Amino acid sequence: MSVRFDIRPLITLGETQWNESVQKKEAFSIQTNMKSEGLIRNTLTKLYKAKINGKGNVFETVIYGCQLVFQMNGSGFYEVQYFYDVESGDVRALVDDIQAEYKGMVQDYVYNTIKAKAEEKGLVLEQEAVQKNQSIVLTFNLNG
Amino acid sequence: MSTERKLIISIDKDGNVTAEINGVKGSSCKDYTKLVEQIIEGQIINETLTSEYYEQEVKTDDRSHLSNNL
Repeated sequence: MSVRFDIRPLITLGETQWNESVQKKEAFSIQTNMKSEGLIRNTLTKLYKAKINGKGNVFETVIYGCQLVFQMNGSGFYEVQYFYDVESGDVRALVDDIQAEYKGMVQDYVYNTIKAKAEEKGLVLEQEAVQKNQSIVLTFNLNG
Repeated sequence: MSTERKLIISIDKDGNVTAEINGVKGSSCKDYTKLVEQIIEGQIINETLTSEYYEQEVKTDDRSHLSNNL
């Protein structure tokens, strides 16, 4: 091999990652690594068939009787705020489940984007495989 | 016979991407950097040059010339 690149897709990067992030210090708030409203919505729908109110930087839903508000922070990532008398551990477990599913959504999004862009550039997909660690490996022939 | 040039892209379960250019000797493999960025729509956070980068590139013209002499 000649050169190897490690790349963070834009969908996983904070928009102001090089600046000091503006983080609110609230008692009932959990930071997440999620930044795509669309993928969060898809995740909530897939996991809980959740009804979502609002859009953009702030939207909310109710899962298992717990109201969750998703609000984008100064770093471009969403934080989850909760207000009712629920165990913080329960909410954290819920958010962990949401983030785990969200990551799978990100992988699907990146996979579809790469395949579409490669096709746009005229690259020929030679091989596609899923590894034991759930990585997807795409091999394109550059000989044209 | 020409070397197979391949772009191998690995997407891990968190969506992070590793891309490798294989079969290109010498510094010309760097010509593919822009292509990789365009396809993946991301930010390269690390770049590792592998052994082939330090090997001499065989020019197509030179190879043709050698074939004609056979």
